[in-house]
Amino acid sequence: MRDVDERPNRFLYALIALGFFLYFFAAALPLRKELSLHPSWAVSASRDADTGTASNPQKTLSFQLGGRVGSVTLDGKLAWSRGSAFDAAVSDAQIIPYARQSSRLEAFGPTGTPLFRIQAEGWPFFRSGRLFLVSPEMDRVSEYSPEGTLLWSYDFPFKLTDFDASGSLAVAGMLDGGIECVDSQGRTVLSFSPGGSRIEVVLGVALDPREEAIAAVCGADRQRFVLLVKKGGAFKVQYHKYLESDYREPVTVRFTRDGRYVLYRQSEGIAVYDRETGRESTIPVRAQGFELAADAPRGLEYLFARTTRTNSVICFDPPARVIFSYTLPGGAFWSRFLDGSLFLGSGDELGRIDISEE
Amino acid sequence: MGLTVWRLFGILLALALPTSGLGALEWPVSGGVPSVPFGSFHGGRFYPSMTTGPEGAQVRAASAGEISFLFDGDKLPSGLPCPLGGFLALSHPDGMISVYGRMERGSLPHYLRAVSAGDVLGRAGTSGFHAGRETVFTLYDRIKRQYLNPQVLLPPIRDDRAPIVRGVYLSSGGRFLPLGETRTVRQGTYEVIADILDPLSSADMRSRAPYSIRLLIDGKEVVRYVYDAARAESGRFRFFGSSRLDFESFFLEDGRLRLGSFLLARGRTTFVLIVSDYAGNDRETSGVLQVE
Repeated sequence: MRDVDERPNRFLYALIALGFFLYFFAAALPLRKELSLHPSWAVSASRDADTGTASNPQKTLSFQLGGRVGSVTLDGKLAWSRGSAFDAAVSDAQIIPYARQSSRLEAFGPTGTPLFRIQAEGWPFFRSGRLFLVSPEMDRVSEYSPEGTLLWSYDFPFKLTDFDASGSLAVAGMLDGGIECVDSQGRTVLSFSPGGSRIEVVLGVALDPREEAIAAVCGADRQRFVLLVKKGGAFKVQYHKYLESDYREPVTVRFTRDGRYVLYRQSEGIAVYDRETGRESTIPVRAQGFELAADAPRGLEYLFARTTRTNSVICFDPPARVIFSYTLPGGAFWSRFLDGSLFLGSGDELGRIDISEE
Repeated sequence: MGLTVWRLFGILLALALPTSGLGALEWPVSGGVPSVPFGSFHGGRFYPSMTTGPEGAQVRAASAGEISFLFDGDKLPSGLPCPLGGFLALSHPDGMISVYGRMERGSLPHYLRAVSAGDVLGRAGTSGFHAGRETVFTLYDRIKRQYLNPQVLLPPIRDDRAPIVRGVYLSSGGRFLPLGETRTVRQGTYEVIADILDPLSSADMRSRAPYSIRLLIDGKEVVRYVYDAARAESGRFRFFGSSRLDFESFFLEDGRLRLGSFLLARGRTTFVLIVSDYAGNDRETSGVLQVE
């Protein structure tokens, strides 16, 4: 009788021991070290500067903060700073201030060295380091070489609502619900209308930095998230989802640098779609526009979110576990992440915050 | 006889376009006068919209529809500059879209969805690329994926002046030979260049695109360009509905029009250029050449 009673207890003890083993050893996840933020420097960008101290462009970060453009060294010296007449296109290699109505653009190096001039009407912008010019009617995009030579111009079927580019492709969403993808020679790679809604319009579009996928939020009544993936050399719809939202305004869509996650604005926060698992999560932050930066060594992402009232920096562990967030006042905002440091601009101040694991 | 048939064709076309979707349109601004009409050479390229004053005017829906996209600023949240400025798009039944650009910041109706014809959408203002305060009105057929000329569908405006042909030239080897001054040319292929504007009144000498251009050589119609529609295919603007020209091949850098290249054989050659505006005013210019 006693022997029979003890058998289930031994089994139970063995099960508990196995559970402990699995929990603490076999399937243990190491605790992430805590991130520690160390303010490094702050500098005012409101004064004109032309120090010429940063002769090597790689040692400066170009900025646009409110009505000023320029560059700052990684150790906090203002290498160049000037007011921009109206707006500016900024990359780390080139800064192009421009007036509202101008047919001549002048590009400067990060320390203010004049580089080249472009005779064309439109407003310039950079995507993935490539220089583009969008026409006054928002229906034509031209690409220029780093030396300012016209590479190609492309007339899109209708007015653009969004545009993204990677190393060799560019994609545009249009008011008529069409999406067109163009290669680095200005040739059509994709012409596609997602459809599926009563009103056709593309509200936002993004290109996977590895050029394997295109994501878009499109349509109204009903609005959809659509993901196209390259298969056999052509982009085909891999996933779509009807959304609760009914935006009639731009919706930012972005891929993480590794292409695995797609982030797009929703009313309850920023939706994160995981291309590997097909699951969707939400980062609970409201943003009218946002940019992403990857902290690849730590496997983290930085989300720089903008609303009319606040600007935020959110560090998250993909898909959507927020590690920390940092809110700044609304208005002028500039943000970069480089080699474990955050470079932020707010109001007329630029600053650096070093991030370490402790 | 030819002109009558041609006029009838134009009327039928104007009638056919509204029935294809939009119905009668209303001017987006009251007392509107197009300062840059559809098809103009504007900013160094073909202009698929219509810029219309008066400056700072209230902008109204040209037809009933639903707001599909609205943006109030100079840079989209994704960072794409928006030289069209504040703008909104109305989706109309049967796939038509009307776009109202360069609107005064803060005047756009964020609260609206469905609108009726004549509803106020905002105010023309300083936003986008141009410093002027006129609005940019664009009409688009989503089904055919082409721009439509709004003036074909809008109520006609007073226009008591026929188009002006400032010159017709034969071009060969970089030389421009003015038709009328040139009496004799050698046999060969020549490009016909025309310098045309279409004023609304004697006080108005701004360059405007006409409604149609016809060129007859020795009584045979060799060119017929109707400014009715335009579309971009494979990254290039082509217009007009009937001729599908590449705009790059149509405009010279100074805005003069390249009507085509023609082989002129020996003998007497007669050129007739007929330019029409929206009100039905025609300008006919002719010339005779001896080809040797």
